[in-house]
Amino acid sequence: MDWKSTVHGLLGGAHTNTGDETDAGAQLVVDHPTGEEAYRAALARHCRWEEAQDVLWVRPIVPGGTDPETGEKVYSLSACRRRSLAWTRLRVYESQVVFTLANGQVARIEPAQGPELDELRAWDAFQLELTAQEEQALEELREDSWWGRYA
Amino acid sequence: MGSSGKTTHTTYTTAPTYPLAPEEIEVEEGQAAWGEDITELLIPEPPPAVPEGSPGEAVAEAVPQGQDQEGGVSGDAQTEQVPPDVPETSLDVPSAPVPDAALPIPAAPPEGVAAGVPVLVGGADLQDSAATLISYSSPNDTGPREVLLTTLTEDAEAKLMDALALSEEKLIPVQVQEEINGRLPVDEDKQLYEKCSKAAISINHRLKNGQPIPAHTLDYLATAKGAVQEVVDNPDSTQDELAMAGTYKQWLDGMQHRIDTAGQVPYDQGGKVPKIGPYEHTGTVTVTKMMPSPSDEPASGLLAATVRDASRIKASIDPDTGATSWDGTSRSKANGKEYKIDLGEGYTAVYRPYGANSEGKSEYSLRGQLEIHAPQGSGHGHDLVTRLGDLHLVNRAMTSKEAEWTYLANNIDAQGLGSKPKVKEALAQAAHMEELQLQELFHTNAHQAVGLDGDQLSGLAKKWQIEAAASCLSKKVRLVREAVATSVGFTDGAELAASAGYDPTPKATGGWLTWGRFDLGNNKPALAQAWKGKALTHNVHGGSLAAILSTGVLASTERRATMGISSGLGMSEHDDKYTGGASSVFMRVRNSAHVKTGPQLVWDDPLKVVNNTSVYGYNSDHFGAVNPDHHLHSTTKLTKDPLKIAKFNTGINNEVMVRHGLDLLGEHAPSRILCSSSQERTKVLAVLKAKGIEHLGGKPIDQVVQ
Repeated sequence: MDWKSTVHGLLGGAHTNTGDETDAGAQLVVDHPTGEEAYRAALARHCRWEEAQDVLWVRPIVPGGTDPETGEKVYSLSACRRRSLAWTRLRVYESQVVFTLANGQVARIEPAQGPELDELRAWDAFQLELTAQEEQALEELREDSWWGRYA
Repeated sequence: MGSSGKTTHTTYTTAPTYPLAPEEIEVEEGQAAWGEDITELLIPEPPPAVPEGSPGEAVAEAVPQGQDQEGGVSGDAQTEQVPPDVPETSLDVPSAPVPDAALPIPAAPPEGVAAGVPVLVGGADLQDSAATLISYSSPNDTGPREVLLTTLTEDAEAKLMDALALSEEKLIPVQVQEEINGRLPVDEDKQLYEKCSKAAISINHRLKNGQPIPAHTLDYLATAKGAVQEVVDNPDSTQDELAMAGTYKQWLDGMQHRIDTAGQVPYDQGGKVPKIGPYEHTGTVTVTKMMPSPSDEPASGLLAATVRDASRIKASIDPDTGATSWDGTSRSKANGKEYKIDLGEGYTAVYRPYGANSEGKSEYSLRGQLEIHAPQGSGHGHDLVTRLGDLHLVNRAMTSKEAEWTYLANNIDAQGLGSKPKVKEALAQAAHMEELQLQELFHTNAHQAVGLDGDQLSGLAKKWQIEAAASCLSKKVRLVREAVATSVGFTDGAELAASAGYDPTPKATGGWLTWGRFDLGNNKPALAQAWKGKALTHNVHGGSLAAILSTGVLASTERRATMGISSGLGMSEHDDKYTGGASSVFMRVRNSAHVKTGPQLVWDDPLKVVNNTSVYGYNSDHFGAVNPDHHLHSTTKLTKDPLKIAKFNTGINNEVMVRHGLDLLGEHAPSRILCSSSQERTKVLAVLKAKGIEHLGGKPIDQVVQ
């Protein structure tokens, strides 16, 4: 099973049960080597594999806040910074990819659910605020800091 | 409302009612480790001989508020000399000129500098003991607007609250005419905007990826069209409702057109369905509000204050010059509540209390943030610091001794020396020294507590705590410096203090302060070897280089919110404490030779960046709490050791964090600025030349900008 196809499918919501892919998506869950959960977040619908370095870039979604001017939910694109997954071991399942990270943590990309799925939907709505160029800059996953709107 | 800050009250155990002779003070085993009984350290040092006419080394007695505070040498004949290390107590003693100030307070911060200038303030009321003075140019050229920005520690909030006469204590109902903005009821009831928005999201998802529009997306569009048409067709619809429906209908028609012409126009050149906001109705209505009562005379000595929704200064940054300007009134909305405070004589303050702004919901760094505004014009730097005293806060420059204590504490933390037995013991003894001094104060001044209520007793206890800390300061510094020195291989504290790397004065870089590491300063050859061929890099997205360089700083999100170029929206203080993102900038260790393309900033000489007690890093991306101030951060994966950071895997996913950011046009100038295109290079060079920058790090900018 090709891990890249599985990751792309999860991010895109291919596993949806409503027929609409935007009703589904992926989340990242990371456990400490002890098994204790260290991190959990919805994932934006893009990733980039840096083949030469064997690193997968993803963008976890840090929960947004309410813009008091508009009442709408907005996100800090500085907070939702790109993160990397560098692994020593990888296991692929039908609806999950599990990475044993170089630092000993274990990360899973799996179907988003509950609060993470809600956050992803809010993020999708927020994308409407962005220009096409801003969307593309996010999807390149190359920046160490975000400048401009929603920084 | 009353005080919403945390009021701490420490209960001290009953002590003998007679002053203890030194021999009666119990000395714990091991306290004489340096051949010096700790009780001897409690005997006050005689004040140094002060030649006539000299400012001496002493902290001067307070002068009345309103007089200029000199941050440097004081020749003010009105000051009195007091024994060293005896502090003011901000409760009842206004500011004093501080001849021994670690950093002078500028009389006039430079106008238009977006990052401002840092000020080091004594005591422990301000986070990091620091404030920022910013001078905003005025758009109508009538003189700059100088503002002091700082964040209070949570413990200090109670002091500020005690200074206010909060008008919310008297509330009366008032009928007011008000303009309202809101969605029409029919829009909200029938969810018209939501239906249209759902169709737009689904259509864009397909158009962006060049995919055919599926049936469910077309259903969304049809549903939205039908709901909007229903309003159009309803003979009872009002003009406003018809206008609303017409707006949404136009949006939906645009979506249909993009479906019909899919592929003809690229997504990023007009093919994307644009967003429109919900249609809002604007009108005048009569509402009842609870307003502060008309101003009575506030209680004697208290400051008038009102409560309002939280806000931030809405400054403007010139994209070409990076200069900051503000009209004095524009403010952007924020979540939470704040007090507006009248300090008199044209000075005002704004304060966002911890209690009225929840950690999980407020914008990052808003809680505890204080603004003090001077009357329009230049030259209020000293007065702005002085005005902290109006709010019962310490309002003098930090002394050199206080700065050295902070320097030692930061180096102990950065170098991991806290676990060294001698250092651990010295810190414990220093704390014990304060306790003994506090007890001495209690014995001597217990009569002052008679007749005081709970809050007054708490204030008196805090005052004595400040005095005890300050009176022991020189001795604490000597004790801990000795322990640090012998723990790292020096003969004694004097040798450490005399070493080339020991510099207890922080550097003002950008708009903030950085504290150097004495181990770097004393170990340059080894560090240079470790970092040979390595660089620190920072990638940005296209088009950002010119904007970053125009401000002159690579600033953290928190700092950019202070500067007014980031709203701080979308990130809560809770999240940042976990991610550490807002308070630091992220960099990566790379092989210099492998770094060739932009847009990115490159430091091929990274020692000047890592000579900072706040630097920390991870060899690979670590998930979970990364902020070393968070109790859950990993202690095993995080390192603050620049030798270990130099050995990081030079792939692309290590992370090095620097608190606050870097001064790009001065101390931390990058050695290379790699642009993504020749057009970007031209723009970056133009920005630098407009700021009068011809060299960076000693090199011509034509060589640096590539």
